Amino acid sequence: MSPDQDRTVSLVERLTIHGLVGLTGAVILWDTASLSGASAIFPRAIGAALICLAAISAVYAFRIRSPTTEEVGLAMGLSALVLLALYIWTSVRIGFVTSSLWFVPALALLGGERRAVHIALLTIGFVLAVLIVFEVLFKQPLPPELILGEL
Amino acid sequence: MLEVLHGLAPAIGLESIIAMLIGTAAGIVVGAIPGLTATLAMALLLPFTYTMAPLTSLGMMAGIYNGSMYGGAIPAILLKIPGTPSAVATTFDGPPLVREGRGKFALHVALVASTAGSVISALSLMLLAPPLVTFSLRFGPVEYFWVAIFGMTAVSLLLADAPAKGIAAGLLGIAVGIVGQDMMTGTERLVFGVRDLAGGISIAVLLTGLFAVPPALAMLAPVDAGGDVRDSLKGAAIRLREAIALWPTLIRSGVIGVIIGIMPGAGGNLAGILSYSEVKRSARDQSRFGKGDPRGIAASECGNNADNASSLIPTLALGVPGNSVAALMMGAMLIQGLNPGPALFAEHPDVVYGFMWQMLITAFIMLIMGFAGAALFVQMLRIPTAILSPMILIVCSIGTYAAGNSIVDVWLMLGFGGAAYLLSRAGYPMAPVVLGAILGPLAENSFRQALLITRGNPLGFVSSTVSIVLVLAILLVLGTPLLRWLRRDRRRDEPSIPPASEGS
Repeated sequence: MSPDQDRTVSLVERLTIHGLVGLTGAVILWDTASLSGASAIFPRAIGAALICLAAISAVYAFRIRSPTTEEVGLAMGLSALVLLALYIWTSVRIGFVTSSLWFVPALALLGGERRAVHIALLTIGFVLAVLIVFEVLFKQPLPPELILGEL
Repeated sequence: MLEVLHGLAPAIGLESIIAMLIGTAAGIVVGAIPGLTATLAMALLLPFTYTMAPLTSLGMMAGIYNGSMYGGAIPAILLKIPGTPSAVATTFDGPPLVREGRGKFALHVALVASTAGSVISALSLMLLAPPLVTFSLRFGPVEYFWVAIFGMTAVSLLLADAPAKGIAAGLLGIAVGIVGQDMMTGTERLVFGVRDLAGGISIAVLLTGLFAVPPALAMLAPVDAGGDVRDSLKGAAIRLREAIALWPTLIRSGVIGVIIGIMPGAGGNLAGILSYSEVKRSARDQSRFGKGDPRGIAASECGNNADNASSLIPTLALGVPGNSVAALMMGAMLIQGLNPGPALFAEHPDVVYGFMWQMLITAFIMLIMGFAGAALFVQMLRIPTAILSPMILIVCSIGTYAAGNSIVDVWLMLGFGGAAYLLSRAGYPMAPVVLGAILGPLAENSFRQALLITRGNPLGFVSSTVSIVLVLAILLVLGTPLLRWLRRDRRRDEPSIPPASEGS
């Protein structure tokens, strides 16, 4: 697949996203169903409007064949988001800095960087910089770090 | 007018100067790397500003804002890749000058023009914001309700090709803004049983997710830097005579940039392109435009920098941000417990006027750094963005955690980032989301207060001249998509359709 093709957004994807926007509106309506009085007016109006606007956007999505986007391709973007979720998950368990040791190379490889020595040196340099800035300079209370023997 | 002087002393304090130096250098570096923007850098910085003094964080923000606009010109001139969206028009005349062996001259023109634009803009902020504050003292809940609606409507409709998406984005932002306890009744809304949401969602978490995560993901798709750029810095530097000869262009573009900046929904990219078009249209000899005319670079760079401080006029005076950067600035102030608006001028004149001076001083810091560090900043073009991407995401995560000591905030940041990425792919603009989150609660509270004051009389919402003017302005903005549609309808037979448009 060429980079140009990767920048296009399929009809299915656009309809799915418009559907999710409409679903958000429905969830807002459902959550505020139990509310009464002035507190309920704004959220209910927002929920109903979101459903209508998502429907309008979905109808108009059929009029454009293959729009392009400035964002990264869907497969790469979603993979990166999954890796970021894994990074956050592991950070709670082994620390933000320790988790960076796998996250930086993994995402760099995903982005097409293949120079192993380059990745290794930059990862170590970055981890050291993060340690100095957050642990030494800012003295931020972060989750315990495996590499610092805090676990 | 003299009250502006109250801010000078705090702005030139040691901590403030250091913050401005760091911010400006970081801004130029960020702008010089294609894919990194001022909004990303400011969103990245935002969680760390909790621990800073107000003028330290704002000084850094001011430096990033001004510096990144000039930084964006470096790849635009040397590689024909706009480092920031605002530098698009700089690609018209910059690269031809580089091909003529005048790369250094082109960068110097961009630097002088950026400085001039920033100075014009900062002066306009100092001159126009105080009178607007005096005027806004007449505003009550009704007027604030309409101001908030105007801000959201303008940004939602003017930024999006498709009005439905723009408005939906604004509404999603309002939904985020009203999460937590209703300030007037104490009722919990959209909390879904999650205790961490009862206090509402931090604006810093939202801004970091929206403006740092998608650009960091976009950096995974490599930008072709086009080889070595070290040889591009050839030729003679700009001479004083040549810089002075640009003044008509700089004044014209500066004024255009200031006007665009004040308008909600417009931005630096529009200011740069409009300035370029206007300078070209008014030039006696147009033959060199697009082939290396320094006036083209000057117009674009002066225009996009003149948009900077002026976009903060409605933010500081009314508490209504007109674009995403202004929203980030407002976020930085809210984090410090400072509520932009007329009260800020009365309660914290040292901060608000100090910030105006910082916008001016960072323009001159940028000039000095630009002349002294051009060779260094050009090296930024060689940084592999695929490695920068995870580093940005890590700093976002740690910064978000550190700001609130809450892992829930980090998950929320990821959620907002993921949502922003998907919504952007489908053509939803992100600035209305932020505007909605900030202005939505203001609009709701003002609406309910106004209903109490007017005892439910709807005519009370159009009882003052300011209200009527604002309602007319909102109707005008609402009519814009209709005008666009009518124009498009006339051109229906033309074959070319903009690829990214999903016009509804």
